[in-house]
Amino acid sequence: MDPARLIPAAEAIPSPWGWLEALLILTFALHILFMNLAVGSAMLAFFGRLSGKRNDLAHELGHRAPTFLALTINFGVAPLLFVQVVYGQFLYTSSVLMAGWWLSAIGAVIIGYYGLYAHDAKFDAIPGLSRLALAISLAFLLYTGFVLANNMTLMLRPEAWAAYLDNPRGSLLNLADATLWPRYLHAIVAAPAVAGLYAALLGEKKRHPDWVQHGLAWFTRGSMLQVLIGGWLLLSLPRPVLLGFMGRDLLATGALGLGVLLGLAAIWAGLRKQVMPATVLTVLTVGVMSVTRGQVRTLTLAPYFTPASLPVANELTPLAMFVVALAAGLAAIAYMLKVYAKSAPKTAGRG
Amino acid sequence: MEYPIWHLSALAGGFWIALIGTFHVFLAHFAVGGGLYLVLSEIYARKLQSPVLLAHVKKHARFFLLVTMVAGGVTGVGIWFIIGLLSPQGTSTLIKVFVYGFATEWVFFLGEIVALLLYYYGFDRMEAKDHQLMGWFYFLFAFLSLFMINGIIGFMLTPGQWMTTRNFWDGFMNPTFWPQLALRTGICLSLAGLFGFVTATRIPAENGSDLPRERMVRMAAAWTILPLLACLASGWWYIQALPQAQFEMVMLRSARISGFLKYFQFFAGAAALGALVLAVKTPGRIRFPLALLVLLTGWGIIGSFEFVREAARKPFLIYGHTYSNGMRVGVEEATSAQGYLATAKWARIREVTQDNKLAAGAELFQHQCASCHSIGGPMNDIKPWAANLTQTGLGSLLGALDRINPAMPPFVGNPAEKDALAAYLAEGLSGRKAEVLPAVDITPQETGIPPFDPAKDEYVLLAWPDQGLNMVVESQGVFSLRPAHLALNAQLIKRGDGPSKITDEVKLTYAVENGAATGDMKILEGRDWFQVKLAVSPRKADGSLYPYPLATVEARDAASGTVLARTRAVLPVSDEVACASCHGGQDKRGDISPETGLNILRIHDRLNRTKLVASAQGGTPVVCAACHADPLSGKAGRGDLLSVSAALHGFHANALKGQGAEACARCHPSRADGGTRFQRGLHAQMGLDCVSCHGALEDHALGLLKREAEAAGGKGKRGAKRLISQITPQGMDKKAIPPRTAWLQTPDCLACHKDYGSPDPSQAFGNWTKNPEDRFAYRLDDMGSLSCPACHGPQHALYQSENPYGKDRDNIQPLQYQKLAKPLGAKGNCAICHKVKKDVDAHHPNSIQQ
Repeated sequence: MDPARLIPAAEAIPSPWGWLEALLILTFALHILFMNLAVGSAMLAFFGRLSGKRNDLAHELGHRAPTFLALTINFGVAPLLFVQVVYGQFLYTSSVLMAGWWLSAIGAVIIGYYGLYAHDAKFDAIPGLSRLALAISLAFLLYTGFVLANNMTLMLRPEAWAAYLDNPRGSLLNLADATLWPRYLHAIVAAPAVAGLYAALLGEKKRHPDWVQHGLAWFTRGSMLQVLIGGWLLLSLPRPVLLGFMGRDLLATGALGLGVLLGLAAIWAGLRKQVMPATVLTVLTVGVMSVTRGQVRTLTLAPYFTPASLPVANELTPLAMFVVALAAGLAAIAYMLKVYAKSAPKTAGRG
Repeated sequence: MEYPIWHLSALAGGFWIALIGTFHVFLAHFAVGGGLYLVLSEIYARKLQSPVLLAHVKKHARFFLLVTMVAGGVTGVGIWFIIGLLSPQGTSTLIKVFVYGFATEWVFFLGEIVALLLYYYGFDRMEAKDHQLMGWFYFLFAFLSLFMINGIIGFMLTPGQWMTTRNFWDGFMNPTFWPQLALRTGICLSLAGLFGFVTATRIPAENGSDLPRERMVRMAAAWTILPLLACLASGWWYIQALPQAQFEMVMLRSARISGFLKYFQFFAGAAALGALVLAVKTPGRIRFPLALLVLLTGWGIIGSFEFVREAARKPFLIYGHTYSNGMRVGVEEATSAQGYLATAKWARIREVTQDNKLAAGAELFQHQCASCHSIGGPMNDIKPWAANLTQTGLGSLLGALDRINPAMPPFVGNPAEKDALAAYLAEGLSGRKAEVLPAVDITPQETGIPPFDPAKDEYVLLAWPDQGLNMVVESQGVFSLRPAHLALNAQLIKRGDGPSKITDEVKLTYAVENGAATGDMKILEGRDWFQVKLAVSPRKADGSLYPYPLATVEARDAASGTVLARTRAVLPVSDEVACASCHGGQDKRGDISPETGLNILRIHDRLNRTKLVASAQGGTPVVCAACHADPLSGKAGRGDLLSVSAALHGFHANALKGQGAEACARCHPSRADGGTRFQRGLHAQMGLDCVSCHGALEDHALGLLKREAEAAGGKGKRGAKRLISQITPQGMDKKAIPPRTAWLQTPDCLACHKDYGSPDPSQAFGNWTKNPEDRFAYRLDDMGSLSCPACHGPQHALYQSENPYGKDRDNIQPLQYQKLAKPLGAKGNCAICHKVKKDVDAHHPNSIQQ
């Protein structure tokens, strides 16, 4: 059967797709950074508590993890919105195919979320329970990531959708996809690396040199592993997509090359204990890699769909409303943070 | 059409949306009202300089954060997930129309999170003023979130001008935007009070004083109760702002909504009462559990409100744009023509065949029904409704789904697909194979013709029933349309050149066969013949159908008792009403079984918010004519409701559309292989059927409905105009069909038989008798001496007639008096009454036909 026949027709979008794609890539980069912070903090706290070393760092990261998760979820909403606008016909379809798993992610996030709060609340009072809560939380958050990775890859594979004909019960996964595992690991292994970098930043700020060292160790080792996983991911891509990244598509090749260079530079800075440069380079790497991720989507879907083909029914005033709200919202947030910072304790310690 | 369907059975029917949705809105509304509650409580605590209260506010802030940000926030994403899974098409439209609305809401959501986190984590370290500012920021962002979502949700129910302009703002600032915002704000504040109890009831004593706790509990009570009053006002405003169709759905049509409205009132009342009980000093031990219980009433309030709103939107996801099952309004015709399965991209079966019929039906169910109906699950279970109808009935219903039930979208598909879905519902879900009404074997009986000697006998006695067939519509113990109602008429004529009609000094008696009834007949007021009104049973003592019992009529000299004349006539009566062929519950008797009756009442209850099933099961059978006027039995009914004839024909006209006389036989006992076969007269012999005179069901119904639409100064009785607009006539332009009052107007014989001449059958439909006296049963000849049926036999059994229970059962009098089964006096048989031949057409033109 021709998979293209299954692809739902798409409706008009209210702005040229490039704007929406840009918003998608930008907000996704923030989402993945906060996800790395949330899950990575939980991982580092978990390993810290398992080893019994650096309990204070585990406490600190565990305390911040729920806040990071709150922002992860918030910054997950935005790309989920924009991806629906441009690629809804693919995403809704793959979601239905794996409906049971997809919906379970909601329950998993709630459990993971409460687990993080329980871990923090009972950190000293009931350490056993606290550790158990953290383990459960981590398991469910990792599960959530796996579900997301499944959907984000299944939506790119109309050729796999015919499985629905035999199983319409919403229990399919995208396990046969060679890109699934490297993609999932690429997102997950970044978590302890980014959280390690964050631990190093905290260590610098709060004058805990051992945190800096420990954090950078996580960062550099995790990031080196990322290079390997990234290579695996690249090679797992369908051949036309791979070729796109090998020079056939200049933007894709350029973005990937830049991303790799930035990543290597970040590792280099990490190895040289330059925390702030490593941080800046990492954020830039995630940003550029987010573009690369978009290129994977575009190139993979190219046989079926080009976003430029979407009809556009331009509406400027709603866009203006969003831009104004965003500016005002960010200003309000900046103001709130400034007011909050005013009250920061003068001495270093938990805040 | 475009998207795959997540196949669910028990947990289909919107179960997941209801579960996630009501839970989310419960918390999300608390997230708005609770924000204001927090910051005002903090100000209050600081004003009182109470450390205990301030600690309480902090505790409440933590509770608030854990409830609203975690469970509330994530289930909000959950709603996105679930609507995308269950209604991808509708979700896609919403997202594309409102992407910047959603994006704006996302900004506010971000602001909410940041403000709330800073408020909570800054509780002890920020200056009071700064800290409260965080609280105000939080409330501002939370309310703005509500503001945004309110517009989008309102759009789904009342898209307003957007339907034509496709402009974002027309959709967003839709007709119910403000009243809904007011109502939701009220609910937000009330929920804040309810959630307030959870922490307030656990405030410890301050220096041995309970005062701080009592203060906060009372404050929570005030927060709960006062906004509920605002909810009442804004709820009324909201309903008034609804466009006509949605308004009618809420106020008149949907039986589900009246249930949800009751729940809403119940939960609001329970919340207010619970708040009052908590506010007075209830014992400490039960206070906290009671607070949790009262909190649940909040879930009930918001849940029932959302159910009302969603039910009011039926059968649409986006009103007038996308049906509840994701189908776009406007695709029906083309898709039906091509076949749904062939058109839907993700249908796993592309065409109905004999072998895959049930599987294809199941596939169609998933595509078109499962978004609202579960199979044996807690939400909108299809099984009881499928069990309520036979396969035939389900097929008929599917053919007119949206017209019969305004809360349903139309079934989209070709006839084979409709049959497949009906088969799946009947056979696949209820295990019931298609049933065909069994053919009834009738053993004809001898008809005894009473003797008449034209040479010696001085009297001619004529007898005839006032109806061609009295249709007894009754489900024993459940309902009756009207009581059995048949009049037997008899006229005594003294033979002679100038015959006279004898009414004085004679006594007429009747005796129905098998001793069913005997008695005297009385002069019919204003007429010169006798009549008795009878309630004749169509059943023998053993319960078998016997639709044409004979009555023997005798005329005696009042003084001497000498028999002057004797004749016999059929009393046509039948309860063979085939409701069961569609409504199920068929038994061997062939009348309307109690089960069939209840199946019917269930539908009436569902569509008209009545409680007829409860009445019948409570021992009070329903009398249709008590509400729906019935001119035949003289019942006036309720003035605002359709007559029983208009209601029944109008309601069924769409279900049985496109048919001829077979549609009539679905209810009336005219089936050719049935137990009554009531069309036995000359017209039937000539090949005319019901439709020839009464029109096809649709046309017939339109005539009756048009009369009802004239009521109340042209406003019409309830439903008349809606039904008229939904019915497409078969044989005549809708505008041209003249109104007709059931029973008081009949097709006018003289329209076809112009001047009693050769008939032109095309004139039968639409030419109704003007006055009740013009009807065949009551019309007199030109001399004013004899009524039509006296000589021609009753309607539907005009001489010469053929009765299945004995060929000449309906021809007794012609055979008795003139040995010829034709109208009395035909072929020059004037001598029956006149004793001599006549050559003038005195009764009416053409009455002497050689």
